[in-house]
Amino acid sequence: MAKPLEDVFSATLGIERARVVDGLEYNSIKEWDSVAHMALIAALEENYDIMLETEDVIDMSSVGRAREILSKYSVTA
Amino acid sequence: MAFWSLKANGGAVALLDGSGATVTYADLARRADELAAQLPEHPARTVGFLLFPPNFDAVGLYLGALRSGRHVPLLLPPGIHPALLADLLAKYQPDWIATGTGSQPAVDYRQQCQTDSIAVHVRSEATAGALPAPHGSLGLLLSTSGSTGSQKLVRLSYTALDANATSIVQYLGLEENDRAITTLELSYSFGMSILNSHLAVGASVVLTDETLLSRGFWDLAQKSHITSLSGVPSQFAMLRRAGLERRGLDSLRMLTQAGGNLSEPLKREFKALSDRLGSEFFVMYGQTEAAPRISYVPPARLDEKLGSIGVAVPGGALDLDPATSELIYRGPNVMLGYAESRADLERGDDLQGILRTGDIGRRDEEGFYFLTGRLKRFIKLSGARVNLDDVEKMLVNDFDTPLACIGTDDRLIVVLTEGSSTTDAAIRELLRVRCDIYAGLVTVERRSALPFTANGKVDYQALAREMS
Repeated sequence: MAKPLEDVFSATLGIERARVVDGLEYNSIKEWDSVAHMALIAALEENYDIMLETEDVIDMSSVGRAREILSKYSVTA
Repeated sequence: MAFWSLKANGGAVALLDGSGATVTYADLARRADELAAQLPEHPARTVGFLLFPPNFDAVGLYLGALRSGRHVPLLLPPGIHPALLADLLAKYQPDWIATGTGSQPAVDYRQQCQTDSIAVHVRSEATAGALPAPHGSLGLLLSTSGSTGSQKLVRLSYTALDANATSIVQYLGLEENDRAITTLELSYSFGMSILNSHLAVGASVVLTDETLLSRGFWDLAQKSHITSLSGVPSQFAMLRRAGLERRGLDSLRMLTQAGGNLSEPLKREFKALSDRLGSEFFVMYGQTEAAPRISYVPPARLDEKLGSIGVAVPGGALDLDPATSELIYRGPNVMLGYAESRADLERGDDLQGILRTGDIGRRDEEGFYFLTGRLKRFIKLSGARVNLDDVEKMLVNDFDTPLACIGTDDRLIVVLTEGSSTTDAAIRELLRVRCDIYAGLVTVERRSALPFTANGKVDYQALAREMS
């Protein structure tokens, strides 16, 4: 059973769940830098048991975008 | 001719940015001198901090300081932790501080000028006493580590900066049509060297703070027709995830890697990819103490010398200490020495062109060097050097619990005893806040007890064996 998207972000970035909102953007906070982004991609893939396309990896610029992108993979995020 | 003389064809483009703006060599020289004119007239030689964002004015001020021959900047990342900055301010009492606009000026400094992208603050007269002046040969200061709290600075001479840029141009075969893009902090020796070497040959650099994992970066790289991409090991994993081959970089002719050991599978993968793209893949080794480049593997030899750091850069020489097998580098790019205080900036050439790298190595029959270990316990995390002993001391002091730090490049392992009440999360949080180490690079392990050697020291080798 996949965990909620917010939990994956919160655990991987090490930030409170309340801060994980759709408007939160990549590279806008110290905790979400490129190294963390790599870990986040891996955590999302594991959580939803999917392989993200390279185009989607570089388009995942916010929590909201992640949600949109994941919907293409027929997962509930 | 040193790179800061900016003597290329004046109409040639030196810098570009994400907005599509460009700066020619003639513009850049003018901008550099105008910005340097904002720095204090007294004393004769000054020390300043440049919090170095990737924009035209910051690069201009950097070059202006070098061109003046009077102003010695310490390059720092624009996002430097305030506590770290405060510590450096107290130790070095800079005569001026340049920051991105919007950054809060330090106390005791007044704003001298502000452009669209940087602000220069100078020490207010009230607090400007007679401070030790930097030695005449000192051109630039760099920090050895972004984070671990050991604030040793590297003192680089004008000669060292010039010599290393020239060596890099030579072995990479850089030409005036080349174009790099910033993938690393300009305050980090590797990032700085990319800028320096491109300016030395009349080539150009695209300035951006976008990352390898953003669409904006790749659109800019493609549109700007970059010819090279550079990164530390963690960034090569990103290049793979971002699908470098599918990014449409038609002009790409080289990839360069430094900042720690890249795994052999990734080296093989990027060598094969480079071959397919018709570009070259340079695996390189260096230290900030050498401004920074020490050695490189000629791309044509990479397949057969996969685990090697290569051969010395042009103008330098490598050797091994006969007793300890420590790798010793000799060359004009070796630093003058370290600084731990403002007074140390008065010092001249302590090292005399000889750098003991702290790495242990061996040499094969063809003269290629290989690293086999380190004299001191350093690892690199995302390209930043981390002293395991410093981190361990900090954690022990804070948590008052027995623990040991071991690790390899891009993996810090903290070993606690099972009885310890310290949580994994607390360890990770402190490392993030205090040392800027991303939690994903940290593994916390627990053992019934830490192993000790006969003379009562933590047995790191035994621990490493247990963990591997």
